[in-house]
Amino acid sequence: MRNLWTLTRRELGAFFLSPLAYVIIFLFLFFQGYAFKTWLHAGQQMGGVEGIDVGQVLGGFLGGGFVWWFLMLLPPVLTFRSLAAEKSSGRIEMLFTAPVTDIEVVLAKFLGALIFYSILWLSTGVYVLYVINAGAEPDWGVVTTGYLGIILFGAMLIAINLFFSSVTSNVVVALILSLFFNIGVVFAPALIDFLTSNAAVKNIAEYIQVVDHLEKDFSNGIVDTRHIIYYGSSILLGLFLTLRTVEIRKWR
Amino acid sequence: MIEALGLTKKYGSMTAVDQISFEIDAREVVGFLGPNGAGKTTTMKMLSCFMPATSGSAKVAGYDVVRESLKVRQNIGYLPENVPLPHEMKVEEYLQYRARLKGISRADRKTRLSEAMDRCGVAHVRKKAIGALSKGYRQRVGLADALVANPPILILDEPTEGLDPEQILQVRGLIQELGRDHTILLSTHILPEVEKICQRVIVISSGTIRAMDTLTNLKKGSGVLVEIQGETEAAVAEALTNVDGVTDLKVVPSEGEEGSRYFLHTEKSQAVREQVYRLAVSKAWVLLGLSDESRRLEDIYIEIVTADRTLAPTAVTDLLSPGSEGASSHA
Repeated sequence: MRNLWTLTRRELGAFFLSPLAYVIIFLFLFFQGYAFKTWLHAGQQMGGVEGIDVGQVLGGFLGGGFVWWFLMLLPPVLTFRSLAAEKSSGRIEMLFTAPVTDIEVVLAKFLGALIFYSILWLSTGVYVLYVINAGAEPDWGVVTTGYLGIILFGAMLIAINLFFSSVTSNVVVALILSLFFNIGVVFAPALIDFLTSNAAVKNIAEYIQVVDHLEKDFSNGIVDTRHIIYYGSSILLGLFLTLRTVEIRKWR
Repeated sequence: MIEALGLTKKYGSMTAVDQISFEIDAREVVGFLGPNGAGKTTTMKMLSCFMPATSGSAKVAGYDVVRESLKVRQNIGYLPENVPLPHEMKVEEYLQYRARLKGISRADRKTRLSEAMDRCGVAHVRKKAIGALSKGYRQRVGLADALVANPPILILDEPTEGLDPEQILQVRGLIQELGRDHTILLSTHILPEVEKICQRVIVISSGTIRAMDTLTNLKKGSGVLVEIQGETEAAVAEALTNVDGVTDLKVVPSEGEEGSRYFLHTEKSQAVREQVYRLAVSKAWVLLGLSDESRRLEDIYIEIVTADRTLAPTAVTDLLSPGSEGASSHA
């Protein structure tokens, strides 16, 4: 793991060297700012600054509105080039003829995207500070679990989208596969739940129902170990599949 | 330093590299020649641990390329074909990253970096983005990358491809200089380059080794060109074929010259020339010419590479006509 940090730093550096990163940052901050304003306004309607239910504002802010769009769209744009572009440009040869292990490369790609993603979300912490400055007492549990849920969910999608980037050398294919998967993850369980009346199927749908995990639990300050296991195992699965795909070149 | 044993690579049913074995000693500069698609790049990718062989094995710097791949990679500098570099990074930034990746300690990094940049002539563009550089400079950045950790072995896949003549000379000079303290395996299409910098060549075609020898050996024992006036070609040819040491004979189309010309393939040119002279004297032939034809590398290369195609006879006569440069330059 000697090279992990070197590789991760290179990944992060690559984000900031591409114009795409700045477009993402701009759109993210713009829409999150707008969402925050909307929630704050809604809170104010209910009883002025003193009367704001901070938990509700932050909970809504961290679990509703534009959040879902960013949760679905950020991981694909952060990962679609990760391995696909290395392959199409041939840089993968430079990478793997240097003394680095496959697992270091995969983890660095994952961490690079996850760190960028986390920085983006944690930057919304200024809104929390704003609320405190306005004299309100936020519920720290809600804030912490809200962010935890968002980062875990992002980590899961980043790991799986990284896999899609590893199966192709075409960045567009990687992006489309990732988008379809993420939209499916967010909407499919609700659809299954709606379409079936079978109790067993409904149970499974509920377990993989990520929207509920975030909206009902994480954004309300509840950390359920089942969800942690769900995210954790999905992250491991994504990374494992990516690693195996990267290793395939050795067996062809 | 490099040792391949029955190295084979199959892509599906296509065999790209078929059972090749060779050895390269320390501080040897070896040219890897062959037509496009002969398996040069595939072999180099296997030696640099990018992909494993289907069968066979290879040792680089004493380590197995599959089982001790990390150790191998610590000892090589690899320059892939087309030099894929991240265009958005600056030269120095990129080399710094590669130096870190190759495990150069922080203390040594600065000296190693400036040495590699100086040697490859990229020090004055260190602050430029790689994407803004010309092909020649990118090639040199790739070379600097291969050199930065000062590995004992360099594997260079067409290092002068796409450079202008001046840059070719510079890179060639650099490789010559590096050859003094490095083991170098380089592939190229440019034959004069091989003659200038390599001590030994490996010619590969359709995945198998066709020739592997030092340049002096390859060029030795090529043949004798005889020109005789006023005799019937058939009679002369028959007599010459019977000369000891002549392995083959070709009648060379004469181009308005007075006599008929015969090319004798020989093992030892000296002894054959002596016998041809005596034969001519005894038969009272008018001997207009008798010359040792040490072949040029181009000719040898074309001969070796085309030997397995059925056109061999025409190719050999082509070799002897002055227009043979055209045939070799595209190879």
